[in-house]
Amino acid sequence: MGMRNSMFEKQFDIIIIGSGASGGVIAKELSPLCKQGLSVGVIEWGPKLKKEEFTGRELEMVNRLYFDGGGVLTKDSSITIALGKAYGGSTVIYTGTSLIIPQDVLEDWEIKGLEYEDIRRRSEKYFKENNVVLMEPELINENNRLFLDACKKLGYRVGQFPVNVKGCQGAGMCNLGCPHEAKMGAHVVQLPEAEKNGVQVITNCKIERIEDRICYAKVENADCGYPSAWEPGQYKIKAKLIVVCAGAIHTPALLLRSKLPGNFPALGRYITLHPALILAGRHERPITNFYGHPKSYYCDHFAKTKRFMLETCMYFPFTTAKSLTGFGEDHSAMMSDMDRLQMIIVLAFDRPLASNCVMIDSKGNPIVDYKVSEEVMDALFESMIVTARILFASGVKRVHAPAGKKFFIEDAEQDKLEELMSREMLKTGRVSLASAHVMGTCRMGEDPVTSVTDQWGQVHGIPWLFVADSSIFPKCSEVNPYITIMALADRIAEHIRNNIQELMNP
Amino acid sequence: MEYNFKALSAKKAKFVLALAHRIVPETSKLGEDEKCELLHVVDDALAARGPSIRIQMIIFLEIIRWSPFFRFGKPLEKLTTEVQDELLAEFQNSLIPRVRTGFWGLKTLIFMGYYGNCKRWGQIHYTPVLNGNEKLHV
Repeated sequence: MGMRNSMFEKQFDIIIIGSGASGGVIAKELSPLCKQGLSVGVIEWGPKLKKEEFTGRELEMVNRLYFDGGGVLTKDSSITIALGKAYGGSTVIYTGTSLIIPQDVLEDWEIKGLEYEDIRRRSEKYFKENNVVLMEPELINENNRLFLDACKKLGYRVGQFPVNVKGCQGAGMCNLGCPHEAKMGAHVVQLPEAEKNGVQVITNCKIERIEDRICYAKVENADCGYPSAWEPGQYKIKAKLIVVCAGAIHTPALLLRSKLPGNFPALGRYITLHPALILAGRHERPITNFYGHPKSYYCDHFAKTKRFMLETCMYFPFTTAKSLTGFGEDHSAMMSDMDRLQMIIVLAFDRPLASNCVMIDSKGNPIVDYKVSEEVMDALFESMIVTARILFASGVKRVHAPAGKKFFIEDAEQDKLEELMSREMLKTGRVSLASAHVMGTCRMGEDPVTSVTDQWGQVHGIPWLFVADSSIFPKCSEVNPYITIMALADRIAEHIRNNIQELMNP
Repeated sequence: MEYNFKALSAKKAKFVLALAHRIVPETSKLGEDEKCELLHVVDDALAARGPSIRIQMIIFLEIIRWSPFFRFGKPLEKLTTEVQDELLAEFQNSLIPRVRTGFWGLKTLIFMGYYGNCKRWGQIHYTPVLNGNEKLHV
């Protein structure tokens, strides 16, 4: 039987592609339309895992929940990018840190009509909806408390992360999917609510391309989770309105391989990644680090002057091992006592450059062509000196810094940090860079030459196509972006609701 | 040791193991079955990658193995451990970005094979529990 003959046909009024922070919000916010007789479907590429499948075992979980097992690489292999692929998208695998975008950063986006007060109000809406709270002091582990105390001692501004948890038992496995469903991501809050209101969620379904109000898709069940609501095969899905929420890499890739009417020179361009690296220090005694919530504090003291931010973190053995520079005896010595490690992650704020972009290969798969700028490398280098100071002020006996001239810097040497680290050592490939905050690629704006969507996420010149994920950010958010993604998605959903008659009957 | 791998040949698997002993010295103390487990993780990860990355990594393995031949007349694994470590450090610090990222990719696969195995966690004092909050004030 030919492919054409075996293609199933489906129809919705509205299709949402992707079920993460943005897809979840769009689904929930449009779900009241189901009561008015409209059909709304969410198409998710990844699986919906069963509760017992959240095992906390690192390799097993990254293979179940992340694209490429967590190792999506940039074209030059210099940065690994963490992207969730599951019912709930990346909200299943983030730590739930919830910061409202700073006013000056949003204003610097220069999007006409996008007001800070509106975004703040909508962010606060999701603080309530997703149960964003400050963790009680007694539930904060030493890895976090030592960072707080050290920052205070050094006079660095430090804040506590509000996190979206309810009933957190401190498994410390947020990045592997919470085994207790205590993290209030879209998979726990928005998607179930949307489904209750009549939205259909189809998992294990990849949208291959979009044509005029038609999506071509393929259902293929993963080897974990619940099977898709649709039987495996090729699908042609008609919809009056399509909202793409597939994230800042897969959204532009999908649009690039689709036959869209018009010319979009900015499509895929201006990607930003918040390039990140990890520093670790070793205490003489065990500390509580992998027990409890892993991420409680951040230091934005240098955000404006040096363009970087520090956050507490605690990773799993393989992730930790690959994040350290070097190999052999020293590396093993660092890894031999995971219970003595204190970790800090540094995020640099990168600028949107047209040359940094998502392209597609001959098969339509995304290629992230991103060059780490000298400015970012300078920020990362400066951040390492600051971070090493914090680690020593926390009481560690030795620090491993990726730009160190030797593997360990001992506490007796802490007055010579500038001498013991070298900007020359900070080379891509030599140090392990990572990203979990992918933004840009379908940026909002008025000019179709430098942007892809208008301020409402509507693709220029295509009234039936919206983008609502972090790809619409015109510049990076300079904070963990998920709350801003939700706030913008909320705004886009409201616009769709307000114009539904016109959008359904063009 | 029986090899039945998807991406690695028996020869390449043997070289990965030799490389593993330099990257994570503890791997030399693993039993035969444990070494096989490590290689299977590496092989699975390679097999799961697209053909382009897989081929690049396989070629890079050969480059690492044979590049010392012109200086020392031997493949990497036949050199003293000190020389092997020096040469591997040269790859890590190479002036050519592709060489550095290639080496990073290989060592990452080996880290995955060793530290990704939860049987190793006790040895590195990584003992996560589901009720971690109860351990905070013990």
